[in-house]
Amino acid sequence: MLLVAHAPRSTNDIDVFWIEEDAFQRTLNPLRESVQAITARYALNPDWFNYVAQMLMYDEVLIPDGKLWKRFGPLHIHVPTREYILALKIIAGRQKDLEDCAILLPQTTIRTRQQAQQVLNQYILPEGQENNAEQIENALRHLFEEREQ
Amino acid sequence: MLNRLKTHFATFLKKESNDPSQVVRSTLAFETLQAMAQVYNERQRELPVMPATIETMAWAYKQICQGEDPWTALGNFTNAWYGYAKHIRADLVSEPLTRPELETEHTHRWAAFCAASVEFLCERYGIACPDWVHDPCYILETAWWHTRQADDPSMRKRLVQMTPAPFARRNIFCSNRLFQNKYEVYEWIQEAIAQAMTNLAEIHHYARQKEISIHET
Repeated sequence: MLLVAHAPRSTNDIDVFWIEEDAFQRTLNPLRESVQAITARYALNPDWFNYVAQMLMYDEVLIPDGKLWKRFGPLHIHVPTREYILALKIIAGRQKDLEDCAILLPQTTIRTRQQAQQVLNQYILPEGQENNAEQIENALRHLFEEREQ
Repeated sequence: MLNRLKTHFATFLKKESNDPSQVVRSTLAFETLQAMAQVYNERQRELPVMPATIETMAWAYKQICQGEDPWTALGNFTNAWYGYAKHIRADLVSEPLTRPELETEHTHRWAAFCAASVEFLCERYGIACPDWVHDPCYILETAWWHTRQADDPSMRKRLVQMTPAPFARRNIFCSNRLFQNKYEVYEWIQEAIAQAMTNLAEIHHYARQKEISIHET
């Protein structure tokens, strides 16, 4: 959000999505040690690096390649589109996510509820839309005037 | 260790695409979910690292009055409540808010929101609620609608039905999804695995039902 939408606040954690499961299994131990080392060195919240998003949404969302933003040696950071972030925040649906949606929305080309639904259809699988139907309805009603439906 | 990591990362992070909208579908085996939950479980057994400043609700409100984004301040409080300071929850909310000398609508509204949050969280987690939250100064004179469609009567009706009672009592109307968090999700997934669930859909359903029972009823 801070990077893509110049939001007034940053997130304080990194949600990790492992595209290749076997890579996760191979990397788990050195990764865990690295996270612990960084946590101690910078006095961070131990959950600054977590897998919750994947644990909850792996079968609900599609993952875009994103645009290459930075490279740090072997680490290549890809940034998703604002529309993708908006879609994830709509299905998360917490009050703070709704506030983020309101920041993001004017920075996209989405102007109607129908266009927002198209973005959801592009990135959120039908099961995901079904599981999060209430959050989606609430977010769309929060963002768009009723007469647009 | 870093070299080992580099080798592993290099195997799958090199992939590049010129099309940012190109999508892939991820998969997750039960064993992977179990390993992720296990990492969290091991972390839980370690002594929590307490930061130099404990992010109490009074501290969060002070940050808001000093110009911090309210959701950042409340997010930091939430990290304390669910994470490193969950063993001292009563201490996180016992101190009354310090109201600013120059109160604005913004600081007054967020003071009410903080008081409502404390009452809500204490009720949900069986913590004795401090008296300060019941001070009438935390009841707003006019309704505060947390929506872009505050003029829409149907949206207002929806929010009135949805808003948790401690907020509605203070004339704050908002979503019922306020304090959902990653910490509990890990715990519920661990619980489901401990109950011998191996079907991922079943595990998700279990976690979702726990979330609803705590946060949305």
